[in-house]
Amino acid sequence: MQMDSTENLKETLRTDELLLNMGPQHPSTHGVLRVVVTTDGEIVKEAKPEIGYLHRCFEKHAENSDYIAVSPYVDRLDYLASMNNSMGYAIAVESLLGIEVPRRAEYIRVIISELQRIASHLMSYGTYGLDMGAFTAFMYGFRDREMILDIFEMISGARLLYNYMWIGGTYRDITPEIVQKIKDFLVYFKPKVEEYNNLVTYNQIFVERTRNIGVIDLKTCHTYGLTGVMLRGAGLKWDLRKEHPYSIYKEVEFDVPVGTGQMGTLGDCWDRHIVRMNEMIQSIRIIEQLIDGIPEGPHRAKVGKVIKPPAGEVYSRTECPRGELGFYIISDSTGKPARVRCKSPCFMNIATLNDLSQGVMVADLIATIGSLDIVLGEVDR
Amino acid sequence: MTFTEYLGLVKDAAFTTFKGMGITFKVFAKVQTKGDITIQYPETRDHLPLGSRGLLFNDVDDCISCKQCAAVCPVDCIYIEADKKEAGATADFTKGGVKKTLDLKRFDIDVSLCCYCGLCSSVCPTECLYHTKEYEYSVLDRDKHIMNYMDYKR
Repeated sequence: MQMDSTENLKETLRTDELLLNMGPQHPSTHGVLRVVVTTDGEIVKEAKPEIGYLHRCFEKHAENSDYIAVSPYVDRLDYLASMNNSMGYAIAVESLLGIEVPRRAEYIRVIISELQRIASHLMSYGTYGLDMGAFTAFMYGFRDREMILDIFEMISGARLLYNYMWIGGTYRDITPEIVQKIKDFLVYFKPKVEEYNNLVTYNQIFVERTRNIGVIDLKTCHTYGLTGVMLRGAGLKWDLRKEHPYSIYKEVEFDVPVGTGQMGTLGDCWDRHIVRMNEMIQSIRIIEQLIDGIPEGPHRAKVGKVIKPPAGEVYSRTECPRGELGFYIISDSTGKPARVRCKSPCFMNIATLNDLSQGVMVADLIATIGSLDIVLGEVDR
Repeated sequence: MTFTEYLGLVKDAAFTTFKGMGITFKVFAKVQTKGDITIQYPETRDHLPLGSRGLLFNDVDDCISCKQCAAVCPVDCIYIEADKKEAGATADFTKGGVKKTLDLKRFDIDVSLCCYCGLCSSVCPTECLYHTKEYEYSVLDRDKHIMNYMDYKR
């Protein structure tokens, strides 16, 4: 009789995989990302990212707008790095038009886009700390980002979606007051990166949470076409600002930080985090070299109110905080682009999620998503 | 992992956490001496810099109904209707001395659609359309967000 009930139990009790929906409203998916997770106990068997919750038909909108009127939409792709995005679009249209941007505008553009890179990486640092359970990092990151946003508010009039990099130059000129404010910020911020590293990056609890997790090797990078921090975290020294310098990046000196596998495997979450922290130092270096030598002159080339580029096509790419942002524009010599295609780095980054999360714990999945540093506005467009 | 290694990790974790706590206490001491960073919003307001892009305002007396703002607007939120002036009507000029050839009948902006990109104010030839610093204009009814500048009242 005893034997019988055990046999019965074995038949009725069974283990099953659990389907878990993470998101779209979840604090650690960094936006409206839904991840369909199949778990076997604590172990993740499959994690499928479901995207499209923030799709706004950018490319179709662009076909129905003037060249100038596309730039506010471009700001809304990667809303944490609007300046870099609109700079990428502006460079694409400028090469289509074949116009030369004034030196002063180039200086302002590079200074502002490097400031934006710092702001974006601060956000990434803050929210990654939040994902790992360090709330202080979030507060400090946002405190310093706020100072950059104040500078941007002075220079462009808006806090988040600036529409500042216009075709042919910039929206407004930079004033001595703003230059002084940027200098003050650099003096303030320079020691902060070291402080943040002590606060979070080298904290043993943080290191244990992030090392040997979400390892991206170079082969994965090439398979998925990963760029930016992902690629540099995997140890490849590839930065568009160095390899194919646009604007005035060939005149400034800076290093390309790469992951070294210092705390664990090469290309793990910790490596990507330290690359972001080191990039902030390099951005400070770039701004310091440029801020004193802004040449006099106009801040915008002479561009008509209606932009009609000659028929043709162009693909231009720039290095954004999250990777290479490409714009492919076809012109049919009317006032509206025939086709605007945006190649976003975040879309490639999020595609790797399933590969990275095979057989990891659910908590490590959060660490992996955080280290990809995705912005859903750019994934969905 | 041996037990000694485990103890070493615990020691490292405690040490690095105290190092981080040191930074926190430094900031805490600074706040105690220098005062709060947070602005208590409704009581005290942050100073907006020159050229902040807030609510749009159009001075209809200076508007020449050229419709450039409506053409450049990426979200098409500016609605303009204008007629030709009747024959024999007295000539009308803006403050800048530009002759008005059209009679402006309607100048509405749907503020709930506006994305504050600043394109319309930058193309305005008479600089009558500009961004104000006003940012507190929430209403309960969506219709009230359509600003009628012909007789401007909310």
